[in-house]
Amino acid sequence: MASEFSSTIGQPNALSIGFFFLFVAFTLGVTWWAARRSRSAAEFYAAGRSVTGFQNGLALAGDYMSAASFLGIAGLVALKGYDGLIYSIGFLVGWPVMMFLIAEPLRNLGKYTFADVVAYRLRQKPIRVAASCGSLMTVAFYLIAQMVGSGSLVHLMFGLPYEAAVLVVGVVMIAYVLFGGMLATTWVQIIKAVLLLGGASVMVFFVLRHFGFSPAELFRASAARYGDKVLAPGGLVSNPWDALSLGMALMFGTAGLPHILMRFYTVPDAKAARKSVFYATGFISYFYVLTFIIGFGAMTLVGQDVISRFDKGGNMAAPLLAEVTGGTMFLGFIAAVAFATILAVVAGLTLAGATTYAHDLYANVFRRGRSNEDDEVRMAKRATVALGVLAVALGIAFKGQNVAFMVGLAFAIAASANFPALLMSILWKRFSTFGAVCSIGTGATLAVGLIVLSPTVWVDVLHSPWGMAAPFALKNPALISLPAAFAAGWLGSVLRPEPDAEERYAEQKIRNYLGVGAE
Amino acid sequence: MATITETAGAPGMTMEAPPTPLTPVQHREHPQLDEAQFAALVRARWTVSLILTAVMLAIYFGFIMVLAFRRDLLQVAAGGGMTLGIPVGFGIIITASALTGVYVWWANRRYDGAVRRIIATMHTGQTMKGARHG
Repeated sequence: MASEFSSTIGQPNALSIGFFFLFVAFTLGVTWWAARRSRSAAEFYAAGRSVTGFQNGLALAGDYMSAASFLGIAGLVALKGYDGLIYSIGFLVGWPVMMFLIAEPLRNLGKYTFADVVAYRLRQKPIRVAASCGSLMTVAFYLIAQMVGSGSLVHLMFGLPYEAAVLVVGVVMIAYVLFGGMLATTWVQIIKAVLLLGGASVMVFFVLRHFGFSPAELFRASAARYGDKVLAPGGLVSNPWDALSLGMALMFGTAGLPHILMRFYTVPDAKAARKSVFYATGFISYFYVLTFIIGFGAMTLVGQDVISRFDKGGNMAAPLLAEVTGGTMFLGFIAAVAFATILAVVAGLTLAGATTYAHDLYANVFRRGRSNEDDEVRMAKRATVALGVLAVALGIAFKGQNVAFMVGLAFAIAASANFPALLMSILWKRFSTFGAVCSIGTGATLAVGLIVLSPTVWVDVLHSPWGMAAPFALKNPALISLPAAFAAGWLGSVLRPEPDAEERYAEQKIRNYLGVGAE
Repeated sequence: MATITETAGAPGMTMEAPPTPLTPVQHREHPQLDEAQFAALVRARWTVSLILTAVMLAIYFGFIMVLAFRRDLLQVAAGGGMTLGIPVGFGIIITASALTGVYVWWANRRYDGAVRRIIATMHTGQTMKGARHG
């Protein structure tokens, strides 16, 4: 089977291009519809707070399930077996934590960004500047990783040149965000989530049909071909400290991702915010169960040798499985879904970045809160175009570079710069402006600084300058940078207390827990 | 700017100025706020949240530590062609979803009702003031 295996992957495929155009045409139609409902700031940033809990759950899942997690995790399972599941679990466990600690206070206290919450009773200017840095850094690293990934994936799947793929993603994504704001972005994410979950479900149905609808048969067949080792944990977690540090970044970083946090402002109240995390967690859980089966299906029905022949990282496992089980037509559909997935994720990231610029920096720092809403939306639209162009430029500049560390870094910054300040501003009466700035600064600096000195960048990207071993031993900095950010927040608040802010805490609590006065 | 009491219970659609600087209206004490009831609400909310967070942390980091130190435990055959690792992994995924369900169930059953009761007592004392400020 392996030797004479042939595939249409990597050649321009009329069907997949057709499906993709259908998706783009339909979503641009949605954008046109949304454009008339995206004029005011609340409409542009938060879809007029008209999204239901269920819809937001789907959109959150659509925002979070990237092409990297669909193609990448399926590939990891196909090549390494069980270890892929460990990876999925890491990306899931942050969701319940976000719900228990952040979701409702965020919705009740904020307006459009998480900086609204931190700045609620503190001094606007320093907080907005610091929080914007944390926010924009998270968005930038996440965005670069997505753009570079999208270029390579589209190139692998359609044979389209890398630069052209990045450009197409950039142009369509700008159109969604620029004209349709959060409403269009939300619906693109919902449509993509439905297509992705639907497509993956059909693929799992095809796989299980091969094995008499018995997962046990599938596992037995995989073990018969590749040994029992594929069904048990291998070497993914060997150093407990590394695992602990990455685990902390994933666990608390999810609750600090600006594009995810922003979605909570699209629902009418805290009750809907809470409900949306419940649905999102359910959809993402289901998705990871599907990718596990898809991975094992690809391992047995396509074969590890064929998968690694198309891509060493295993990214083509799911598309190859689609072709084997459902023919060229199904391959075309899955390839188009993967492309749609990339679009939905980068649109969410770009909107979050543009909102941070227009709402936190322009309106509250440059204009000191004196700008009107129209100015703010105009700036957000300009920022969307600028960020989109920047994303395309960076995507092309980083072509062929090792950017795998950037997602881990984005999570580390989110967990260290954004999450501690957010949690302390909600829970700690004596948290002061100086403390918040110290916390965000320490978290961001340590996250970036330590990752440069870690084996992830020092060895894998910089190839050990001066022949030195990596000065920092852990692959992810969160184990150090997250506690340090909390400590800095505490120390800063103790050193420079803010009686004004303490006084306002009672009022903040009423709005936080009762929803009284929430936007 | 609308008064606090008017937006209570129907948050959402109105456009307001940024939350700060606070107006004297927002600064006003809530004379009718039942402090004891409110403190109990906040305490209950964080007790439930922190217990659930601790459960999630313990499960995940416990799993990681088993992987790091006693991987062999998950390599044991569990019948049906599976190793123990597979049901454990799926179990963690299902538990994570179930925990969010537990929180929603608790919040819908207990928290929301308590919030409504507290707001109702605030309203009875403030309808007059609300009308004057509106």
